[in-house]
Amino acid sequence: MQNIIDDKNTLSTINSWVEEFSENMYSWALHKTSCKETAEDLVQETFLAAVQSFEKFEGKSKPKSWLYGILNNKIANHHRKNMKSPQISSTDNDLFFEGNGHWKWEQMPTNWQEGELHLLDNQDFKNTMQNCMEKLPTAWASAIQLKYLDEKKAEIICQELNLTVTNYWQILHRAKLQLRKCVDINWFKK
Amino acid sequence: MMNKLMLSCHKATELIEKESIVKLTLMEMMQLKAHKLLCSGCKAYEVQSKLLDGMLLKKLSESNDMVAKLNNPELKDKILEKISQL
Repeated sequence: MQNIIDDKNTLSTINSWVEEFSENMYSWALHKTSCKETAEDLVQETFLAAVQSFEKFEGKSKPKSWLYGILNNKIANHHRKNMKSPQISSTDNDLFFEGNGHWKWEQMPTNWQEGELHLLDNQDFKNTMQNCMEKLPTAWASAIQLKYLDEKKAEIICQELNLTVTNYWQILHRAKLQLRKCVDINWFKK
Repeated sequence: MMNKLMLSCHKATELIEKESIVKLTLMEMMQLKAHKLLCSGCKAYEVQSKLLDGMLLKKLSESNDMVAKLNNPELKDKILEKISQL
């Protein structure tokens, strides 16, 4: 196998980027994927890709934007890949609904006090949200992330994923039921 | 007619999520409206689902410098080692 990095300068440049950017990139990837392992993998892959395509960098852009460009691509691909094999089982609904489709008594939503958008300025609440996102099955978390990731219309996202629109909102529905429940228990009804 | 209008809570909450990404048919709109008049649980669900939507949008569109910085020195070492093995 041909040695890709024969240039010592390349290595030392990339190593200095790892020192400077990797932790912030990890925070960013975690924010965008809600999964620690995934975030670590994507950042690693980003740097390995950077080593391999270093000659394309040529200093035309800032190292930071170049690296984040690669990382953001990998994040988007991760969500798309996840959504290609979404897992929905009919038992997911049994958690929330009776056989006839009505709320189980203890699962029926009741009003939230102080349910306001500015809650997000509260770091404790933000952590609760983040933890609840991390608890979702990965395909569901991806469904939610994709909804806000690009400004694209649902139809276009579904086309790309080879998914019917019906399938897509059904996954969103499962994800939202669970997320709502988690925020409900861990914040509003605590 | 009445039966046709009555949705289950499962179906109603599904339509609430559907509405957040695509347009509902006229029939679906009427069914959902009728259901929400009678069902406080689904009404609360809709309010909370929309609030979560707003929060997620706000949270996920935070720019890079607004994201809380986490330390991960092990990751740094892992990457450096991987690179040295290339």
